[in-house]
Amino acid sequence: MKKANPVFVRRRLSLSFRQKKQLTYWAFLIPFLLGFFLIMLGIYINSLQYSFNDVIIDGADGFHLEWLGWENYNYALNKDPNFVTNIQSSIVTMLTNIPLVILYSLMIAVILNREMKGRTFFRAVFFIPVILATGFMTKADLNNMVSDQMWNNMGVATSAATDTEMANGLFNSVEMQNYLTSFGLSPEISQYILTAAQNIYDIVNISGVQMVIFLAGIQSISPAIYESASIDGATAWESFWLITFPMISPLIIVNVVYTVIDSFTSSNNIIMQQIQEQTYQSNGMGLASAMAWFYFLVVAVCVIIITLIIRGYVYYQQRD
Amino acid sequence: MKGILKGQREKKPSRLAEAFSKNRIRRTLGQIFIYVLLIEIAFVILFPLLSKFSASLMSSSDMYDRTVIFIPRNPTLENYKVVWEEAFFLIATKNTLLISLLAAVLQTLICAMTGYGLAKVKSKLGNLVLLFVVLTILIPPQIILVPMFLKFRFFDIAGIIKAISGGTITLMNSVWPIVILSVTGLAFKNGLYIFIMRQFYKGIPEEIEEAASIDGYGIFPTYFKVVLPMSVPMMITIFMFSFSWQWTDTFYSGMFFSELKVLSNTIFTMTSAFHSGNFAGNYSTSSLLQTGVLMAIIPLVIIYIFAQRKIIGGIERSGLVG
Repeated sequence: MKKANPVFVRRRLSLSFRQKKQLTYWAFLIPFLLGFFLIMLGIYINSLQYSFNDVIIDGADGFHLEWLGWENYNYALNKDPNFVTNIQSSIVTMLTNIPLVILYSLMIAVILNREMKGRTFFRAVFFIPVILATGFMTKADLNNMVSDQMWNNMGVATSAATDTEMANGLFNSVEMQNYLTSFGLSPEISQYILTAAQNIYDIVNISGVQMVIFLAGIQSISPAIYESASIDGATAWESFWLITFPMISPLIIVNVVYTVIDSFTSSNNIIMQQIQEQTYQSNGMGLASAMAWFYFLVVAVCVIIITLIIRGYVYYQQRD
Repeated sequence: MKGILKGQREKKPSRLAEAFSKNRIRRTLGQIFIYVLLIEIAFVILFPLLSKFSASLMSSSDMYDRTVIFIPRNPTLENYKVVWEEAFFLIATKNTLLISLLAAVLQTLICAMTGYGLAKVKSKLGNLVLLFVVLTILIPPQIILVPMFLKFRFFDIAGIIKAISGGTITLMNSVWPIVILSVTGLAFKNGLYIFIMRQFYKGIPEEIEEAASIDGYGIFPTYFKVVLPMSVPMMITIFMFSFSWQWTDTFYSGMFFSELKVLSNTIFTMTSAFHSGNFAGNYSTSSLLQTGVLMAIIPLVIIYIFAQRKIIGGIERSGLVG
């Protein structure tokens, strides 16, 4: 009995050193995989199930399902007046925001990494959008009377959506566009610059997370690399493009993916608001789930396309 | 004495010349530009907080007076006192702190490990797992609210608990849902943390691990003794994310802790109590709410400042990365 099965021994040996290492690395993934398959998958399947049913609430805390097939999806895509146009507009918003958010957050992260007076203060301030982005801040902002009153007195309506109106007052679009075009910029580019200027308030508030991620990435680059580069005569500009940029390029992909997801799933998004409203309507949960799952597919396709485009520009030090 | 004076006199013109040299001027102008930019953006960020601060100092008569903008006519600290007492501020802060710490520590460790696994596993299956990770942040939590609530209300893992105790167990009003979600890397935005860590580890040169393996370290000792210390700045960042998002969270707190006193619950129950209860009219609910929110987020900013110090110290200590 003690003698090992020779076939088994040979198979064990035939696993190369590399393959054995690969198997050990899978151990790191066990907690996530267990949780995903035992807890989350069931939750997702339930939600998917609701989308094919009419969810009818019976009483205090019970409900039952009535099979509808594709009816909910059909309603969302063909009968709901706003759903499809809302999806289109949120894709456009996302596409305009990505480059602005990435450039802005990278710039601020580089600035905040420099030695300067008041750095700690500015770092703390630029962390605040991370806190404000989620949770009870958005809930509480809904009824902040002071800012309402101030904007009202200035002749401006409130809420994030109308901050652009305020900016419109500052940069009168048509005049500014003419002005920019007179420099020889094409109308499309000058229009884009104007949109950027008008959205600066939103951009600042949605870039907090990205900025903090970039900052941490830059902070983990060893100062020794910069030192040796500067001994070799590299300027600050060169060392940014040749050291900082490649070293944090893996994080650019994270930030782009996060910007896409955040722009699609934040509670300010039109679709998310529509889904949220739908959920609280009587017996509307089936339709809300259908909308959500269709929307999820759209977002997933966007994320995959964008990742494939950027992937070629990313530099990893790990060999594949 | 004379010699020293002479020396100073000789130095002065050269200093002046240096001060007005082209390079120096350019650098100063650049510095001024950067400060103006930073201060402007800082104002945009701080404006909502300043308006909260001003609301927190207003009495209810100021709040409803349309001529009072920003600077209260009868400044009062009454709002702070009311929030301190009625929102059970001390107990709620203690509970929130404990829950946030627990969640943040677990999530940081698990996400770092999962990220490392994903960076090292090189196969199609590994990419599939990465897809699952992104999936968990792609699906907005609002959508799975009902099934998630039911899952933890009638908790069971693959029928095992039912087989042992004959029924499902409820995990409401305990920290278990948060612990379970954290240990498996499925809590709020954990997919983002895993993705960050995976990308970070992909950027570390493989030679470091090879050197450790030649020194006789196995995979786990290499990770915990060599690779993990290198990723301290990233992990502190993730810790700050998960800590502050757990701190301000309303979604899971509302779902799991409806009877537990945590900040995001007590502040809102306090305001709604004032809206309809005996005190209605004496206080402006809006300024109470703003005060509560302000009091709740200030500790977070302070913790971030300390964490930043830690990050910088961490890099200097470990002297990484080539």
